[in-house]
Amino acid sequence: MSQYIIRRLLLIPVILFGVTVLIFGMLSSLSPAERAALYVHDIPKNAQVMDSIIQRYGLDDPFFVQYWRWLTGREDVDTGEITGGLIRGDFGYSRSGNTTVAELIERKFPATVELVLYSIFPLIVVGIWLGIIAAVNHNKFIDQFARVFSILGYSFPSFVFGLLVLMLFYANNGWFPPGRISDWANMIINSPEFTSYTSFITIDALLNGRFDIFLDALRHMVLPIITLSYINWALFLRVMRSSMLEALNQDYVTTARAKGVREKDVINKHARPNALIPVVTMAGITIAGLLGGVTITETIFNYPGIGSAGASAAVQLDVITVLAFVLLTGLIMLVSNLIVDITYAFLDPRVRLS
Amino acid sequence: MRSRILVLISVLTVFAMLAVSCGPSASTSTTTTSGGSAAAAEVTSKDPTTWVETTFGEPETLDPSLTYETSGGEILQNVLDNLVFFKKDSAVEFVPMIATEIPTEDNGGITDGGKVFTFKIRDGVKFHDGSDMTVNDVAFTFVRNILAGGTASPQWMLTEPIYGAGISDVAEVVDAAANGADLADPASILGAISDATPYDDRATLGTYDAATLQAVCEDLKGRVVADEAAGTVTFNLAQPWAPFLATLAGGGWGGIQSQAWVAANGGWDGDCANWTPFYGWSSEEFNQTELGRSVMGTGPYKFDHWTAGEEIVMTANEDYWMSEPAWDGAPTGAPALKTIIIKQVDEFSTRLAMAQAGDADNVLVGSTEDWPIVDEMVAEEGTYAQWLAGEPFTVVDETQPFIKITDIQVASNRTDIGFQFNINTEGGNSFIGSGKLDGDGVPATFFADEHVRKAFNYCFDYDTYLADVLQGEGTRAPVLMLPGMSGYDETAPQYTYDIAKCQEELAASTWTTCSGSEDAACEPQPLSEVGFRLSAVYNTGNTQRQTIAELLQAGLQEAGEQYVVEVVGLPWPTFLQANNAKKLPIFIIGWQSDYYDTHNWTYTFTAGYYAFKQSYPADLKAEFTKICTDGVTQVDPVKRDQIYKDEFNTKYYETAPAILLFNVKQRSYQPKWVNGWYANPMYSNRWYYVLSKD
Repeated sequence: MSQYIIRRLLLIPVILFGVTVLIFGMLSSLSPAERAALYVHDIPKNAQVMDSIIQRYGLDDPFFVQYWRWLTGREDVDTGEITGGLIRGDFGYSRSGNTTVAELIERKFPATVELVLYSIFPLIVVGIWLGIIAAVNHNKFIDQFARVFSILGYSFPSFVFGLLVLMLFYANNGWFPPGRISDWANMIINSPEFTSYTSFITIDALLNGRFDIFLDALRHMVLPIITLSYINWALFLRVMRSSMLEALNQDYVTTARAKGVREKDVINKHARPNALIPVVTMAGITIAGLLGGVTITETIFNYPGIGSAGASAAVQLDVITVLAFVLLTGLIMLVSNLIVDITYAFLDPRVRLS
Repeated sequence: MRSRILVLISVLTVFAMLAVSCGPSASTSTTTTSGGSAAAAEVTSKDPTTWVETTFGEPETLDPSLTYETSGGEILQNVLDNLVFFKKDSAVEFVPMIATEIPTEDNGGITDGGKVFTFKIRDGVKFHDGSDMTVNDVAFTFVRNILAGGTASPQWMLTEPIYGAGISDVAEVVDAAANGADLADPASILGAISDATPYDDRATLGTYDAATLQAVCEDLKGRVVADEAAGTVTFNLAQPWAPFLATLAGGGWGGIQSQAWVAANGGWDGDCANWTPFYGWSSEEFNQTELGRSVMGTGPYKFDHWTAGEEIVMTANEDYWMSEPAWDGAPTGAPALKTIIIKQVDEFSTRLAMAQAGDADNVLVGSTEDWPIVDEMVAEEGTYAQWLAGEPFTVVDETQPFIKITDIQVASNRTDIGFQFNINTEGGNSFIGSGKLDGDGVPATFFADEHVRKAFNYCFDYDTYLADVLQGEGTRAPVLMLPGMSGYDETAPQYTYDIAKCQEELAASTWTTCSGSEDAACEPQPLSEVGFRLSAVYNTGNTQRQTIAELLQAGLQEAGEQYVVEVVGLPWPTFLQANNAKKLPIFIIGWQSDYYDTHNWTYTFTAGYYAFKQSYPADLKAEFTKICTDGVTQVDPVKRDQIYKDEFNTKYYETAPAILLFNVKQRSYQPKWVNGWYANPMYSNRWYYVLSKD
């Protein structure tokens, strides 16, 4: 097992390197002028601007020169000092984010992680619970209702559902505002009297003894959580339901029932653990996907996470930022797949990792 | 048991959500009508001292030497003070700010036939860090900005009056000086600028002879001179420059900074022996120092913080120096609004919801297509003239949160259609079909024919454009310059939608062809028989440009089936690339005034940037250049007005280098609690000092 984990961990940088070469190569198919468009929001007033941008950033250099510069840094012609370069831990400057890429990720990623952490319970646990309820009440009203209810959510485009709840629960009554925090709370967070320990506002608020800020941060997350949960419940419900139905029809369940085990114990102790196995994979991938950013939800609720920042970078052809985000997403996917595989082995003794 | 716990947790979660929702919102108060039958929900602002502005797009940088867009300009406008500023909503009248009076010939502020401007500098003004603002800070600001230069910067607006018309960057001055130019003679500088000018390239600039570099810097200091004893700053211009005050009044490039603060934060310290390392910084370079991430000045607001992609916060300068109102009714002393939060909210629906809930104090629509949505939420509506006069508005639905103000004729920009006189065919150009006059394309110099340009002017359906795109809110642009500018003339002749005249002009075209014939002595066919095919290109998503292309297409089809215009949408980067490469036969020429003066339009369109982009023939460009130079150096406003009316407007109409469209009337939606708002076309969004809330 440990050898397997070490091998997988060692493979991560190799895979990420391959990913960057691939993405860099694809992005290099854009012409220098197209990439320079990032720096020009309208037809430039000065005729030399475009040429100057191309020259300044070396956008017309060969692909491998640009890639090497991104990897190892750029030499300052004045001082001879080499600055930047991925191998120095410098991801470069994010034009779309108006800060360094590292700072951008440092600021945006915790916001997304915090949102995802609070979304896990309603999204996955409730989804699984709905699936179990539906399976146990197979073809009864509650089964039909749960399926219709969740599939309705899955059918909603997230921007439609998001705007709907925004109008219902904010525009007319101010209950659940967009953004990550209210202005009054933000002022306190930005003041010297507030210490940021984790970059998670809810945790930092509690550590600073500010329960009002904790509640305010939660209040801002309610609508994004509802949106993320509702549009994803159907997936978990359907997988869990079919898996549970299959488990309930297994011989060992029949045997348990024949032995007189209580129906509740049959479901909870015998059927459910086995039915959970396929859901684990899906949960892992879903969480990894959410950590990569929930673009539309973040945009509608003006939640300053990695998803909206990534989308903004992609739309503006901000190659440097896109590369860093691809690296981050790739890393999340690789690690989460590894965790899922390991969890599999624990859940199902028949699975052997090698 | 576990299921019950799960249910319990779920129920508790719902309760928690409801409990959390009952936080400090209090944006909605309920008022009962006198009859007591109906309850109308009245949305009010949550905090009368805090202004929340929702917007999309944020500053590229906050350094005044490079800031050349309105998001950054808005911060600089509120944190810095200029020498002079605009009088309320006028773009052509000024009030003194850091200067104590507007320089005129009568008060001795303008001398030497308009070449020397002397500003008396206000005493007792302090920077936000508590230090005194001096005449040296004022002079340093302009010297530093010009030396910082770079092609992406707005500094050309200062180099032109100071070094000479047509000189756009300090790198040109260095190059010319190195080539032996006499810096006192603008023509000598212009004539000595070589192709090797190191635009934006400080490494190469630094390789120029050190003595030359120092001489250029010292020369500049001699053109912007601080006199501590007299308390004045004097600008010695290369030639009289009519729009000089307009240039200083608007934009961050005229905002006064502290020399000590700039130097302490990694900027130039004023030493002429070492200025080239500070030339041509990009926004990335600025933004990795405090110079780009923050700003410090003497203005009514202090910069607090900028969280990129999220918000910029400014707080009131409680010690603001303004003790006398700048105009009747203007505020004095500390600002009424104590905190300004400019929030990035990309999605229009979210911005609207925030304004509805009282969490935002503005309604920023994305385009005119959003107007009908906001119209549903209008409490009262009226014209801008009514708003300024304080006259009552028409009540629509008092329960709604917004006031609608229409007919705001104060735009500083316009969108027109330009012709490419010499289309780039290098490497092929699919936008002009075959590239020949054979009915399936056009030759590269198709629009060099005046008749073709006039025909296109007659074949554009202006009324439909006004109705469909501008929703009726605009007036036809009779001349190139904007209303209120020197030379503006509503009675000037203009092209109308007239298919018969369009056909006449196409028939009168000098273009003929023998395409399809092997016989060199063939009978040439006129354009009106052969026809043409070309593309009108827009960037996808820009419905305004798309409609313009479609209207041209429809008009020319009406004139004859042989006249084919294909409407092509391209992604923005590709569109920009094609436009930059001069491959588009017809393209949109949008312009936002840098300063509210005719020269910014006439020179740009006919002698400067667009003359280059449209590849004007040399003789046409020379004719316009002469008129522009005569106009901008004429300090007598009456004579200047006449030059533009008699010479420029006539020439522009006769040569028809573009299709002039509409001066757009603006529309504004304001929450009901906003006071003091007015529209000045040269403001970068808002000057918060004049605003307050109920």
